[in-house]
Amino acid sequence: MTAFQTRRDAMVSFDGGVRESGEIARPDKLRFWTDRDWSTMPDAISRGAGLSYSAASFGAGAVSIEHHYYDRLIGFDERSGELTVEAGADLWTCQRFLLSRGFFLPCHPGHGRITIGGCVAADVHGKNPWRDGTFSAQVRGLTLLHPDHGVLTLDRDHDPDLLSLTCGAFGLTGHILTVKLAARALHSPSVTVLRQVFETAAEAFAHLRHAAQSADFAYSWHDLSSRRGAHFVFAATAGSDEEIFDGAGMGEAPPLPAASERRLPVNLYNRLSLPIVNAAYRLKTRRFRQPRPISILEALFPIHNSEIYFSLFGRKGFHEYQALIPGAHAARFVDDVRSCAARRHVTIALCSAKAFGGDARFIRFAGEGIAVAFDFPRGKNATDLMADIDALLIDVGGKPNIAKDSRLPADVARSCYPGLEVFRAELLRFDPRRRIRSSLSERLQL
Amino acid sequence: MTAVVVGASSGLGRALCEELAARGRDVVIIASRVEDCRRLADHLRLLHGVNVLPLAIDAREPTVFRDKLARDIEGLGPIEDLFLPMGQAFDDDQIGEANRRLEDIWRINYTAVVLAIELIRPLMASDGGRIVGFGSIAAIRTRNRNVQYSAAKSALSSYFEGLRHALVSSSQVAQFYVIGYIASGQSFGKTQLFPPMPARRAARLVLDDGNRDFGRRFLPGYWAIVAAVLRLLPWRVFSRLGF
Repeated sequence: MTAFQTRRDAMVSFDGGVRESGEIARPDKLRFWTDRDWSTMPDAISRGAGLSYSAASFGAGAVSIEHHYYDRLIGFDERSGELTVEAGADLWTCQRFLLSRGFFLPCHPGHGRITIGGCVAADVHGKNPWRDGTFSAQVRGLTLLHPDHGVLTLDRDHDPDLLSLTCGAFGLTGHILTVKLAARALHSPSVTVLRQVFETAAEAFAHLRHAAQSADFAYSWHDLSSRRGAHFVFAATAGSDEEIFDGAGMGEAPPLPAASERRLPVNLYNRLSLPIVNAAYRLKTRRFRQPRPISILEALFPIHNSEIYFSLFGRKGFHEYQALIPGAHAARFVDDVRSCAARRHVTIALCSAKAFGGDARFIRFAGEGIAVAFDFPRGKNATDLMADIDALLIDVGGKPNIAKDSRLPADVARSCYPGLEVFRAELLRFDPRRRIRSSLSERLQL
Repeated sequence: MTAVVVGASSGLGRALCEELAARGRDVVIIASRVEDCRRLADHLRLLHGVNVLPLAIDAREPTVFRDKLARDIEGLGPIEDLFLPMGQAFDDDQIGEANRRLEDIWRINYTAVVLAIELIRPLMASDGGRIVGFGSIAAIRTRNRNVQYSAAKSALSSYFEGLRHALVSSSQVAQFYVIGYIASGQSFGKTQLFPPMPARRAARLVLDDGNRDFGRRFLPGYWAIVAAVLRLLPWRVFSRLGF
């Protein structure tokens, strides 16, 4: 077989921070993986929906192999709820299928276009990581193709260490071909949401930790547009009714445009517009002042039909700084970031938080604490603010989410992730020739 | 009622299978590679709960293709619709290179299609149904690229006209789509004058046409205009086109 059929195109990280031109392949046959001598093929990295913030699926001269056509459901065990899919299958298709069979995946990000392979690679989290951990907790096994090792089947009985290394490795251990997932039984097709308001971030975080112990979904939202902005905690609990999921509202997942597409020419978040945007959000969520049921789909995919939020940052894109902070420092950290942003004249468009848990090995964004995320428009001052937050984070012993930041310097990652050197050593032991590379791996010197 | 899709593992063929299954139709999927066939069959059964029979048959060996197809489809039926979105183009299909690909190109793009129709048509329900072939815009005017492929697709277009004529007094119809740019793994990375149509959208349009006896149609439709312009171009101009 010859090398891949490719097209040269620009690829952009979802936050708009990294733009590189590279070769993209989009194969559609299974023999693409099996009928060639991979040891002689060009270096390549897998690419899912192309929605990674951190430029994990392109760069470093590697061919980006899209899993666009490897999006099929392969097998399902009705009793255990184990679902096996190709890595390019998206969350929407998987949840749509599982819900119809009385199961669901509790842990995943809020948009249905994201692929299962991408979720494994970034070891993403869901709506209650304190209770559910991260995506790797629901991965039972996978098949992995490495150019020098061939196709490997990994599960708890077959090389569990490599399975563990692969979950959260940003695709650097090889091409994930299929994934076996453990779904959870669904008791109700609806969840009841309650919004509570607090005067300070400290009060909100205390309640968030409490809510995460009993609720199915728990997160907070903080209005940082003024010093007296309110702090909201949303907690959702599965209903007790035993209705059958009827599939209502199960059309296609709306598109989530990459940073290169459908973004406005300029940023529209500023000191004047943000109070209006925040007021609109408060108004939109007013209905949850009293417990109110919503469809489980709405709860699982809250970003659906709110994609304009990303578009309003304009073509330059935005920064997201998501940091996992020891609980005792979280409120102070938010105050410090707000002060830094004011000093730098940067408008924080969104601040939200979740109580966190999960297995924190290697470079996974997991462990106990409060994960706080800040979104703000890209620009010179914003870049300086990111560096300010790096320093604040190191000071409080937190760690940044590698998956959410296309800029994160290697020295900051090294300072914050004790497992990074172990990860690098394990990766080198498995792949001495380091055949899989990306913009992310080059930047973090992995 | 069952539909048969020959050339089902990727591109428009796969999209047709997915759209048929989404509409609750049982499907027989025929493709050259067993692993692609089975993978798609599993997906369709799981997602849509329909019956799917995967058959792996390589169209490049006409005798084997005919014998295996005849054996595998025995007992099937009644079949309502037969879709034949099969075909393959090769980059080295040029004047002077015919020895290398001639047989394969004609077998995949013409012979196997005709054989499949001849074998499956007797199994089709007598009260309606359609036989759907797929040509290519490459056959509008042949260049020194995809030469044999264009000739085979031209021949297929001609065959379908004969088939349509043969079916005049029956309740079955023969439809022929001239395919322009459809997004697929095979077309990805190729230089194209216009953006390709998503395969699933093309499949929906094909299925929405139902059993209408329109004969031949371009897909996407704007290729009818492009084709008319191409045909009207004087040789002096056409000979200089570099696409």
